[in-house]
Amino acid sequence: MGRAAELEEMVTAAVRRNSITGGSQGIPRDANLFLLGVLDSLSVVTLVAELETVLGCTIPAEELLPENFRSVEGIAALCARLSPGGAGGGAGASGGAAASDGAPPEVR
Amino acid sequence: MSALEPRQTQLPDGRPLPYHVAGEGRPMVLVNAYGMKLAFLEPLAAALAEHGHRIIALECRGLAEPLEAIPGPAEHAGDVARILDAEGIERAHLVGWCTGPKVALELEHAHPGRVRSMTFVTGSFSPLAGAEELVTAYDVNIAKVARVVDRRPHLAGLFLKSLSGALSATGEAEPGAAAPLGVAPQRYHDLILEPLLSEEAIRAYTRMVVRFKDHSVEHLLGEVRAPTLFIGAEHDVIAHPGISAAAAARVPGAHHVELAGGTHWCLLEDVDRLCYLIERQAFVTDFPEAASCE
Repeated sequence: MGRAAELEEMVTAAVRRNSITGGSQGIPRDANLFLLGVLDSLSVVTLVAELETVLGCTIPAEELLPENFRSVEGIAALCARLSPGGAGGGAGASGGAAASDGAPPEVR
Repeated sequence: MSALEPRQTQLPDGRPLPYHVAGEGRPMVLVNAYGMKLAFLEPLAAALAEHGHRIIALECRGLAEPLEAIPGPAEHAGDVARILDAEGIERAHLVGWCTGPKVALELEHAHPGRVRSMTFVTGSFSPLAGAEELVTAYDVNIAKVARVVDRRPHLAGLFLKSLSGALSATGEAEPGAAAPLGVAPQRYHDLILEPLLSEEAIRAYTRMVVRFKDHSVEHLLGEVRAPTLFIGAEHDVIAHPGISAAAAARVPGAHHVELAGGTHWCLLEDVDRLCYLIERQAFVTDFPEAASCE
């Protein structure tokens, strides 16, 4: 499985755990998660917290834009930018090294 | 124009403790919900003042406090006692909305002689053993998000965006979503958002929510001595209507009524019925002989 596919799988699982409907399976990767009712604006907050834990970094405020969270594809692209080798150069997405009860270091 | 007149006394450290007053007559304290503006109390305060009550209205402080000193229900109960002292009032009837009943219960516990009666309007009483299912989606989600933001304060801005609907599909708060604006009619959105429009206020608010949710009053219910009335609302999607009944069942001699067709916003939408119930509770307490002749 390639890096992009791994990230999308991780994002799909995270979206499912934070979904208001309890599911994201079978949803096209580019489908609008808000329009489908999978996410609402409140569940985005808990989703971001989980992604930060998994990625081991703080998602910079300038990346906390609605368009970055509207689809699995968009969220995975954000994670790729924040992962090692991505544009953001953050900690490993599969590392999951961040403490779950504290804010990890911010990506710069 | 508001009938409520601003006043202030002092906290032990010398900082001001603001409150509002209206009317003359039998003293009655209205304790607002955490984070809500005074405007939510104004119609009820005006109606009760008009009917012969000396109203003291309290917005629970916290949104402007430093994070390490965010007060909880016990501290807010201390604030009520200080205000009663400042006003020269020995005993008062207490009315609490939403988070307000926990404050009232703490005051009655700490200073039982100062409380004539209590009326709890659409109160939030969780955690309550045996009533774990009597929570709303709002209860669950606001607690979850508040804990996330409390642990990760840098997400306050994101929470603020979510409250204002900036993250939603439509750019507006989603109707029915388990967020403060999603469970409130559109006409109240500006009122609800106004005190929360900065990241500092959001951080303080989420700390207040966490402190409130972690604060159990279960052990106090069985010790209540003041006559107490619990008012639930049939269509309340914030405080489960069943939690009022469950809490009332644990308070000796308490009464419980449910507003048919009522919502959490009954303070604005059901003023006449609420005013009648609150006045009757105070009257029955103050004049038990007359009440027995009804």
